[in-house]
Amino acid sequence: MEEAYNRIAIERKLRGLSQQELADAIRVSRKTISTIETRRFTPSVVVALKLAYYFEMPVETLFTLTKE
Amino acid sequence: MKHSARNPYDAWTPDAQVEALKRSAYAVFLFTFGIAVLNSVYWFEFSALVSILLLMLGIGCQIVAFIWYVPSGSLLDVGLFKSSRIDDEYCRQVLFSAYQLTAWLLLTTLAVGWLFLDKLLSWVGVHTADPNYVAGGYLVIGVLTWGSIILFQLRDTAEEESSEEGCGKQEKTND
Repeated sequence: MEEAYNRIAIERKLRGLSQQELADAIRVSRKTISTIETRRFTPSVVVALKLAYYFEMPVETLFTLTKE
Repeated sequence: MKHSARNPYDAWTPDAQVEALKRSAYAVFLFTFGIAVLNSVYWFEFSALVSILLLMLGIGCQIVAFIWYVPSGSLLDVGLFKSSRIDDEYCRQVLFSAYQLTAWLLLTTLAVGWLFLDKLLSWVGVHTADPNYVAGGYLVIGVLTWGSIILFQLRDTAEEESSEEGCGKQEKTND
């Protein structure tokens, strides 16, 4: 099964945000953010789009199927 | 208020749901311990005093578990067709995997019990099994599995930041 990689931790740190602040901004739990960042959990399209809108970048830039 | 998790007017936040799930799992463990204690009174032959003490302990555990569970908020606004108030995505995933694994384990143990329980009981030396105790055993297995999976999935790992630390806070202190 293919896994999705993401740049959430990088983008979050570039913007100087904590996991809690990002979680509050898109109305999910901090656990959701931390498990997405560590790839223990692959989010739904809704959460992926929320993250993409928040970071103002295309969702395919934030989530990829290949490791950078 | 910037952080909705700290806003008392918006208390049922996703983070509150994580805490409610953890609290439910601990309550379920305590409740199951109470059931196991009550079952042990019937399984083993204790003196009258020990039996009464164990009965009190078992019932006490169940009462404390209920009192511990109610403030979690999980019971509020739960209707017949609304199975849960949990709407955080990761919490729902955790609940799904917990129910899924519990169902598989119960089905497996039921199949094993159907095939081998009579042989196992005769090997132990028990010739008649009360269905209540068998059902109690399955209840304990199912509930312990459910609670363990919830707590395992919601465990804190080294990669996680606490709610107080974060890059923003570090930048502020650097400034």
